[in-house]
Amino acid sequence: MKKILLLIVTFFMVSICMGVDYLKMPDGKSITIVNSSTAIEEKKKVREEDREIYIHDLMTGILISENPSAKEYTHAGNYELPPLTKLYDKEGNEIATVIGMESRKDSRTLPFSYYRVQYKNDDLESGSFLFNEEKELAAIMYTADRKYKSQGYATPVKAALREYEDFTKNGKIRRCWIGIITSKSGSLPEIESVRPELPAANGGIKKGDILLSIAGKPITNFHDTVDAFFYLVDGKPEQFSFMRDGEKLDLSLEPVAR
Amino acid sequence: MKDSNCKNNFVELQALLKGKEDLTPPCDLESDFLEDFHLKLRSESIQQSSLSLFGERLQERLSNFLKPTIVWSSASLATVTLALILGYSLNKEQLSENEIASHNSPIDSQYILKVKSQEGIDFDGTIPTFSNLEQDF
Repeated sequence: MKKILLLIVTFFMVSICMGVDYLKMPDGKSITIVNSSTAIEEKKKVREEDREIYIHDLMTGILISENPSAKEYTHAGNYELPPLTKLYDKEGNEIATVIGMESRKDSRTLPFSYYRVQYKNDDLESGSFLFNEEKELAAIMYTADRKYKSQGYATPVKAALREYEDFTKNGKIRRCWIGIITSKSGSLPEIESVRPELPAANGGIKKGDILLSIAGKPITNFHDTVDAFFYLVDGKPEQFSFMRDGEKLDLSLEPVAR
Repeated sequence: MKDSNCKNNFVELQALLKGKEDLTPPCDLESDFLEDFHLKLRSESIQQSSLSLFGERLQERLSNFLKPTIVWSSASLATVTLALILGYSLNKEQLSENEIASHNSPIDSQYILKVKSQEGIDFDGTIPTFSNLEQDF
């Protein structure tokens, strides 16, 4: 009888503990990620607790709010986890494995590259924190993949940090551009045209130049370009590399919000 | 048409009876036959007129039924179409307002609406995706 009661209490406690995790930032704000299925419920909960919601980006699901119970965790920053990396919950239990980075879903492009993960047991709720072996926050669960059982998409922590940086710097979350239109034919991001009076034109980029890298990350196709541009923040200079007439052209450009 | 048929039948009947003249005792077969025949004709005539009356009434009722039905159907169709158009417009407007209101923050929601409409972003699934058509960076 006692064992049964203990099990019930344990289950109850686990149920309470489960749910959306929040990362406490140095300025006291907290960040988490909710998807289209969990956003309404979570935001309702935040409002019921009379906590302030600072921002909710529909595209990435990032929710920045006031949350006194949020915890500070060290995070993996810009480090990308290789395939087969084991992921753990905050108690140190192994819960998932990285399959790889995914920049597209079916024939469509994702706004940035997500970790595709395989769960060890049950589905992971959106907002669940995933830690690496070093107990650093590496990713935040975004959504399950309806097509494949025990698989889903997790947002790299660097994507959440990018959103937070943009919000704290500019008070908004906005995508940036430099004013280039890449070729629709072929996989290489060759510049087809340059928009006048935007950073690329001001920096001397011309039609026919080929984009090689952004912030040190190699660009080889359209999906790489989308992923790299996601991380640009309005007014924050980044290093761009182009190829022109067989020569490398390095430029520091300051992206602007669209 | 009916009258001519009756006449023909009568002529045939007379011809038939003529052939029976030798029958003894002289029977009143003719009169019986004629009486039956007239009764039959009368009955048929009543049936005919009843049928005509029924047809007329049916036509009248159908006409009375169909006229308002057509009017009602047209009105209903127009109302439903109007409601759908209004509903769609309101829903679209409401959706936009909800999306903006849901942020409760200085997020550039107009941008999201813009990317939704212009860059082919799809929020229908649980993960947003872009079409590959836009290559404007």
